Amino acid sequence: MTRPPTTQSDLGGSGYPGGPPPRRERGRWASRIPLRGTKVPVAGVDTPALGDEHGLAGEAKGQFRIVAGRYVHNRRAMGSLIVFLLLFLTSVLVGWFWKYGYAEITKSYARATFHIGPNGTLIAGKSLGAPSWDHPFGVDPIGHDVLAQVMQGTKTEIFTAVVVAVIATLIGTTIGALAGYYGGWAESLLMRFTDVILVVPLLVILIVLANRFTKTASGWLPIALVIALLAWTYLARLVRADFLSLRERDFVEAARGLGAPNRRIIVRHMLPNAIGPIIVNATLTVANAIILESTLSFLGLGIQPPDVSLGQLVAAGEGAATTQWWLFAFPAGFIVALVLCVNFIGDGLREAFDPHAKQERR
Amino acid sequence: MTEPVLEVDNLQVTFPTADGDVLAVRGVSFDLRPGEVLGIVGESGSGKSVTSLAVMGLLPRTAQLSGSVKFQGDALLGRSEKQMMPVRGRGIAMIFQDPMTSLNPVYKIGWQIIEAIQAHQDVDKGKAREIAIDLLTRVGIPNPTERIDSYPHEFSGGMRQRVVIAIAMANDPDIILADEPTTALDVTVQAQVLESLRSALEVTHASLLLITHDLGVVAGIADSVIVMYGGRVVERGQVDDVFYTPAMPYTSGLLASLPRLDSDGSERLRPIPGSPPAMVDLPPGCPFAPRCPLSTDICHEVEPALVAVGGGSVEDRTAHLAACHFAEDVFAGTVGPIFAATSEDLEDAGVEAG
Repeated sequence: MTRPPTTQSDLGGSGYPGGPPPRRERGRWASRIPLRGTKVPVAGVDTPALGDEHGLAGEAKGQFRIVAGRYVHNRRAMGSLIVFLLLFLTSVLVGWFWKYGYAEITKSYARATFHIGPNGTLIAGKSLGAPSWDHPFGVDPIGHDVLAQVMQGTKTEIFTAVVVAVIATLIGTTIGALAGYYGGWAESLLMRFTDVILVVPLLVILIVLANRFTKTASGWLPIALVIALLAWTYLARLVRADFLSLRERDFVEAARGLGAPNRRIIVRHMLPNAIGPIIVNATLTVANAIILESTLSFLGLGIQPPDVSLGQLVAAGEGAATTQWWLFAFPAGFIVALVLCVNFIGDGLREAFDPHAKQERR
Repeated sequence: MTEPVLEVDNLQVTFPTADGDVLAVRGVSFDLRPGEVLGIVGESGSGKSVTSLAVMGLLPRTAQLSGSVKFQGDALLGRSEKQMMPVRGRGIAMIFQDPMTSLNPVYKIGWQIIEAIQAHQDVDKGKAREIAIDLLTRVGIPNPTERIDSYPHEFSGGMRQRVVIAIAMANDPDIILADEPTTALDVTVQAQVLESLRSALEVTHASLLLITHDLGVVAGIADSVIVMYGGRVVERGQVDDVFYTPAMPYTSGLLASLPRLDSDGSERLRPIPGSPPAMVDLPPGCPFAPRCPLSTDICHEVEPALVAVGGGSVEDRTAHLAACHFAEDVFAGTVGPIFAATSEDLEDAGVEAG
């Protein structure tokens, strides 16, 4: 006999019931392990877990709660989510309460760069509108407050990206689900169409479309639509693959055997089983959309003045990156922060939906 | 005499594949009376599951079907998906083999039972939930008012299969079609699941088409039995007739291969040597001939038809039928124990003699 089965002595050695659970146990089971003041049954620790597994605790755990539980225990993903929400909240609050509007032209730049001396001569100022208490992110040569502009850009960026993600997810899921479920010529048609969209160089098409649509219309919605119309292809392939395997599962056959119509089988039976990859992909689409929108705006084809986007600000500040660094660094930094947060959120969601993915990567 | 609730006549199912047409079912005929329990027995690949899926119209679109399937006198073959919907669940309910996969993992079992009820009955959610709890009670789920809000992963295999049976009962079907309902389960819970199935039959007065390769299950629950081999019915009759006096060497081989509780434990199991035929390019003659100790030249040339043995008539639906050139001899036991010894036993004997 090499190792006795789990007994009291085994437990006593690790000081298990008193101290914190071993690190490995964090996550799904953490909340179920009694921390203090609990008698450990002689039979072994898994007694409470066993009871719970059979639902005797009277608490049913749905997919959503399991996933949410795992996500909450992922420190990096939770941190990113909090930072992202803070960024969004700040951008909204700054838009409402900050003393300068994003389109407002202040006199601060003029005051900072020169002033009129006592005998009517111009005297050079100490700065070129660098960050100060009055303008934490500095001022641009026109006199715009950079904080107000960056925050407005952040807000635009988030709205654009979320709208892109929602529309692209709807299109991608619908096409992928129909192709995967029906197969045959419907699948060929839909997937060949997807392939065509996929092989077309995205940026070139975006530039052409953006040039047509966004020059004539204002605001962020047109550019969001343009990006969304091209960003659904990966999701369509993903959902199709998922539906192909789901279609062969017994419960789908059972639903058909029950007399359920196709639409109900797709929407109520198969879609909830494919929701993990769809949500993860939607999140990553948000990150992609931010980058794409910034790129287009940087090239001058995205959001047009007087609306502000981060890419546009980077383009405007790029020439002065070495002298007036605040014009470049703040918008660029915010793009990076947003994309990073969204990517970490996506990673966290993927790990929450599929815990095995994390273990394999280690 | 009551009308049959299900009539299958000369059903043929072919799957075109790259290697040629796979003849999965070759002319299967049977009927099912109200309240009757019919077992279909055969080894893997004998066409029993394909037969059941053909009845439900759940075969892949590539399958080519001919013959006829009639449910309460109405043809089922050739119906569109839409026309099949009222039959599925309400007329014929199906129980699948593996309860681990036949319940949707993301929904509570209550949701799934209620869905089944509301698919065919115009009742509100509260009423449907009451019915669902009642169904769970009937199939022997303890504490159903609480367990109805559990997810499938919170149930054991046997409990899940009972939930599946409850779903099958939900719309008071005329036929329950069970495709190997106990195969995926532990032996210890098989009996409990069969008990649930039996009470489902009592409540719904449905007929049961039980597909299995477990002869013990058939002996325990079925009235009559069909033995399938190579996509055909090779023997048919009342359970007692077939099990006590098999008239087809394959059936007697199946029965002889069962482990016996009354043996002293020193006997070897007696498998039927060989393996079932590939269903592509079947040679002429009896499909069992290559494995059959009785086979003669005629067996390899002419495929035997189903004939009545023991003085019955083919027209009589309770008659004992068998498809063998030597059916009467096997039936009468004049050819001796066919699978008394395996080839291994014979080899052992030879070694000892030498």
